[in-house]
Amino acid sequence: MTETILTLYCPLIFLIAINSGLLGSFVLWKKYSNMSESISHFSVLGATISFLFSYNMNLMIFITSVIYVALLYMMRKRFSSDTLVALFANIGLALALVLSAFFNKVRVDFMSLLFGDILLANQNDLISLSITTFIILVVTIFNWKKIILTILNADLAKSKSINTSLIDFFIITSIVAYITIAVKIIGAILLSSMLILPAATASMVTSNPKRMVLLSMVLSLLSQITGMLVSLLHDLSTSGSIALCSFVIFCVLGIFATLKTSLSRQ
Amino acid sequence: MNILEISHLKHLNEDQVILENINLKIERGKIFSIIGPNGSGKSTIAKIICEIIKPTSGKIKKKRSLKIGYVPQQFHIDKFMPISAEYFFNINGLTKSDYLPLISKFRLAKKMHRNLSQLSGGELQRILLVNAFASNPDLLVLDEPTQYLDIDGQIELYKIIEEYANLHKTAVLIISHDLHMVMKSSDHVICLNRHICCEGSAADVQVNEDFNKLFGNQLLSLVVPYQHHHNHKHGQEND
Repeated sequence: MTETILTLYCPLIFLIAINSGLLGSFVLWKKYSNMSESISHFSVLGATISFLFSYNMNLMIFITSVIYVALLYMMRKRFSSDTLVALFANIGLALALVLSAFFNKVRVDFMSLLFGDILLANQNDLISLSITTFIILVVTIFNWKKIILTILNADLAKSKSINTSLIDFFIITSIVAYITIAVKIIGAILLSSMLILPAATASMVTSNPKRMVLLSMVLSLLSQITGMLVSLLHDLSTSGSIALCSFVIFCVLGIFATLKTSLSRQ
Repeated sequence: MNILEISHLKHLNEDQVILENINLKIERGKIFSIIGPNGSGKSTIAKIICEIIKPTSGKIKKKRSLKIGYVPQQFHIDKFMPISAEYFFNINGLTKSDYLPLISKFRLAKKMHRNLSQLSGGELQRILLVNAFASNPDLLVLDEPTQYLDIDGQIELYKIIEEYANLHKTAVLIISHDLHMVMKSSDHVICLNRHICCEGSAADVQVNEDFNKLFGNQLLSLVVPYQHHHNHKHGQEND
């Protein structure tokens, strides 16, 4: 068990922290909170299909998520993004439930899909997440200024010959790829709060985007470690405990930031 | 000397004509203004020149390695984005030696480390102007640069633009709806309403029939003196 913790779970939570910090910041800046939540909900459909037809789970989740994002993209001119997300957010979940009812012989564990279970993770997930994280980090580091300028103002970025469509594609693909791997570990319901909370907390106490990303990585790691310890000590849900720890850190640093701002105004 | 030439430019958006038959020559060191009502295609021209959007048809000939400084019409900073002016200039590829001489001119010395989301509209606009000026461009494209500035700020900005254009022989293209300021400061005024209605020096344009048709009401409001109508009594305490 100790060996599994050291060789599988520790690297996994470290990689989840890196992705949560970076992609969570992108999600906040691009106002993708609702969309990332709906992608994670929709990914349950992919997982269900993989259970029912014995396909590779990661591949199925990725395919359904990509189809979902493409659907949103095609319909974006007709409806506002908020309307689209509200329209489709839980359709994936509903479809998954209906599909599973048709196949009585196969049991789909919806509880672990919705609320996650780190014990479901295996070496393949670690390898997939390591490769995904490496690619995301390398692309981000080499294009940091272009990415930030595109997020700030796409027109200004385009006027500097930056391919903003490619950068948007990179951001959304990274989010989909991360959700694909992390959904069974963290759970569809809690995934987006674990993306957003550390980044939102870091934004209150940092002065530049780079520091915000780094601090959200640290906060994500901190909330995962404390959440896991709390869940082990009191036999609670791991993902739930991690999300609650993130929220406690958000409240504490939020109060600290508010006090600091009001003191500096006096 | 022309640094940019546009000929027979047409732009459609989902079959709707946004611009047609646009011919424009931009000369070095001159201030050009594009005026026109809402939806007349002013910002679209600016975006086509800055290669933000591709026109449906037409030719655009640019001087080789033409450097353009652009101030977009809309610039909103999200509260979750912690970014200072210094960091903003840095991601735009500017060094301290590029922007520091302009900081005091635009009264921004005390705002350099503040979060951009905490600045007023006018302060943010001045930061965008510094960003465009500091790259030492051949052509400055300013889309509604005075929209958040008060009257003093507007006068000051046009003075700086004139000085800058003269000193660096930079061409300036201003998109504006503020006739009063534009008429005073431009070498060449282009009156746009999906096509070029009229163009020329401010004096020529002002007597043009098409110009008066488009801006008749605004011109009238400029000459009618402001009258303060009292429908209330001034109390001694509140006066």
